[in-house]
Amino acid sequence: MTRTAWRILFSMFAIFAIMAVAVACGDDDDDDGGDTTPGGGSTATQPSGGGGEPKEGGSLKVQYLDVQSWDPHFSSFAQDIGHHGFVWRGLYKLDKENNPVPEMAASEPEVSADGLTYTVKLKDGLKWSDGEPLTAADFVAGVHRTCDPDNAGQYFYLLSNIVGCDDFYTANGDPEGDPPVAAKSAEEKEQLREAIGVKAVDETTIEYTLIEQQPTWPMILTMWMTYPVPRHIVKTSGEAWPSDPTKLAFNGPFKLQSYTTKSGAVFVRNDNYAGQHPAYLDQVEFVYIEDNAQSNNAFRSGEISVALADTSNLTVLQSEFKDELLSYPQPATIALQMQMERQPLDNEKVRLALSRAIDRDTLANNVLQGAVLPTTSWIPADVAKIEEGTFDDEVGFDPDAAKKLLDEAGYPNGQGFPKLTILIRDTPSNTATANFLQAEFKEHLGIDVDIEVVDAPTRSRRFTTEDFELFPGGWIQDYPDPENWIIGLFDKDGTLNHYNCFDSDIDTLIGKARYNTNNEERLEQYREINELISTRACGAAPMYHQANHILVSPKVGGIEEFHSSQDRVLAADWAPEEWYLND
Amino acid sequence: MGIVSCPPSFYNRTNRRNEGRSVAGYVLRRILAFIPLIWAIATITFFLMHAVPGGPFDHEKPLPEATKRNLEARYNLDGTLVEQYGTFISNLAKGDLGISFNQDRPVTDIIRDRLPKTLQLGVCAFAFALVGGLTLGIVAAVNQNRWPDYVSVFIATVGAAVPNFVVGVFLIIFLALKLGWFDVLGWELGNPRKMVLPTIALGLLPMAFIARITRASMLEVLRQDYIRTARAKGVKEYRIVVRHAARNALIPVLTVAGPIFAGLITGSFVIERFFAIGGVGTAFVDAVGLRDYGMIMGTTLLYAVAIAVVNLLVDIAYGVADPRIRY
Repeated sequence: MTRTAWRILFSMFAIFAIMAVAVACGDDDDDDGGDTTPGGGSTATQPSGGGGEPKEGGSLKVQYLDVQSWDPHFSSFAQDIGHHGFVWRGLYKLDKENNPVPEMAASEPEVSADGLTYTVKLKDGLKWSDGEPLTAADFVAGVHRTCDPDNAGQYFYLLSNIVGCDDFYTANGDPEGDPPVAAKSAEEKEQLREAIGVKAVDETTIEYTLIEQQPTWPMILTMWMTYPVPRHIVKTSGEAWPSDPTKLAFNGPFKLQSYTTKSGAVFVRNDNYAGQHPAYLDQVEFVYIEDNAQSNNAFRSGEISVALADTSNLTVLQSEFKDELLSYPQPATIALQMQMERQPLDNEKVRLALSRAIDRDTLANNVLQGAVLPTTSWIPADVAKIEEGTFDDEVGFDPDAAKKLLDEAGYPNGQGFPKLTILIRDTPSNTATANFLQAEFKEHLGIDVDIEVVDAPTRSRRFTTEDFELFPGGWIQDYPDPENWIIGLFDKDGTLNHYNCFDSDIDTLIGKARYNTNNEERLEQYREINELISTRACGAAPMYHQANHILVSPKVGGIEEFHSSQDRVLAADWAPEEWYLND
Repeated sequence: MGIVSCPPSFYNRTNRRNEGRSVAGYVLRRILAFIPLIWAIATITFFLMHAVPGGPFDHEKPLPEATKRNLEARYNLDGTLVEQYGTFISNLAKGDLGISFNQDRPVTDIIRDRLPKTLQLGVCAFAFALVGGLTLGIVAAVNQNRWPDYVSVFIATVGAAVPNFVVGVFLIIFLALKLGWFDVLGWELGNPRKMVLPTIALGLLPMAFIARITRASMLEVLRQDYIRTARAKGVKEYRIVVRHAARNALIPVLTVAGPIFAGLITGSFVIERFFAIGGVGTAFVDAVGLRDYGMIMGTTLLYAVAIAVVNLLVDIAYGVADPRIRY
């Protein structure tokens, strides 16, 4: 090549290089990475915007995740429930302190003396968004749909306490079971449906009949699987929900104007909403974005006003968006779950040794970059109503105590300890956690563990078939009561108790607490159960609670004030009627 | 009196023996061959899908057994594998691809909703790649070893070496965030703010490919005797390049253009996810991860048909571009 050519090539290269450097060192100061105070902790970092008087009107564009199903009687994903809560409501709703308040109901339910019958009266003049009357029969249809076997509602188990729901739900039998159970005929199924313990006594009164006393029943009546069905559109309980959701009718603060799969949805105010007050905003638009790095860019350019923070970049966001970043704990716990049917995990000392060898603070703040909150309690402190860090001294990080426990279990310095495997899903945070645990166990206990990486469905399958040893997994709350963290998960017959925690003390307490109508006593019993689980590492050694981090533009009000444990995807998305613009 | 523009082998008449067959017949035969092709791909995909561990209802939060049974009945996943296959094939023959578990809607509806954006983006990116690549390649070949050549090759190399999401990030930071000329997200036909960045990000690599192949092919053609003859006869350089050399250099480009076009219209997972474009590109990868059998089958068959159709179009185009080729 000639000299001129070399010079030209070199100058092109130089230009490119300069451009690259200019971009990297732009006008954001990520050079001073020294300020690494984590954004977590149980007090949220509040954005300083928002705090004006709610004013009517305006339109908002926010990031959201696409639905799997528009059918509240079928679905179980948090983003679906978020959508449903915009456009439909149940008899009650939970206020910010998680107490049920009347929503479509006129007042609190009347409870019979034996505690098994709940009678609810509706408000007068309820209407769907298209003007049709909303009656008690619509609510009855909602329960029928959830219990219908052809509909396969995934949350039906929270309605198992209604008389006849289970029988209807299993009416299709189990032809491949052992022994095989035949399916019921169409007439028998119709009879079973009629026999379900939910009746429309008249146009505005609904009666629920339960099998066992359940003091938390009004909380269940706030949930999506009890939402009413627009029977003028969906006529039978077994038929499919319309695949075009705009063809439905709505009774929530908003109605759905348009929906484009994988693209977005537009909600407009529903003037027939009978809640405490109509929604402030005229319109909310969802934009479905899966890549949070990009949604943060869209937030920067002003294309959207609320975005999920890109947690892999949290330290940068904390300095760039001091006023806009909202961080708060989620009611979700991740624990090191341990298969107690595999030796030596059946030995309590071994489990506690593993638990005490994990430096949760380092895991939360360094390995996971402050995106989560360390914990030693299975149930989050505000749900169990205990102090933060109650069990830290007993089962928290203490390498000497861990070594001693392993010694006492019969494996001095880890000699003779079998090689266990940690099973994880293939995500960066899971990989980081597993690598950290592997290093901790080697350093503090002298034992080797393997890491096995599989994809999400495979991991779930391994969990339900109990084919695992160590498994970072946990629970996300359905409703804010301690029973939701325990029943089904730690009782002997629990359908989700795949780590085989069989503890007679725990089972005895669960038997007492479950139907205890004395709320104070009930909560105390659940506190004890939580203590037993956490301090005996029964099936699980709690590691951290997940936290949510979102970016909220200062012109948006209502989000910071109303975020709570009921959030689905975005803060305060369970109460969009409280969102407003302030300018 | 025109200048002789065809290569000497044109005068080799042996190929004329096959003149009786028509293009229409050829096309018809190729289209009929689609049917066994689709059947084979559907069958292989079906059994492969079911061989992978984990099913569509193995969620993070495990489901009760009764729910799993009811879900399987609802989505036709009960019965033995052979029974399921039988149901599947008979539905497929009627054009019914089943229901997507992840969206609870018919697969055909979902593909129909998501395909337009992917097609539009694919066509735009292809046009960009073709125009850009041909221009760069021709300019480079005509000015070989001078500065336009180096610049073109440099651009082509950068386009080939830098991953498309890195290009995307640069474009977004510069043009969208700092200058505010374009939007960060989405795709909307007719709105240049949303069209330019995804088109460039997606089209840069194919453009690089096409540029290099065009350059190499042009260089070879420009060395041919008939070009020298044309120059000797005083034909303007511009006419030589455009009317004579380019048309003959295009054949290798056509070969790669086919698969490139097929790849672009079936969507890029990375670009669609990056720019939050709700197209078919993300559908395939998401479906596999979620074991959404209906969507996996739908998207696989869509790709198969797209590639088969594009290959057919390319073969027909050969016949047009090169008169020596007969079917």
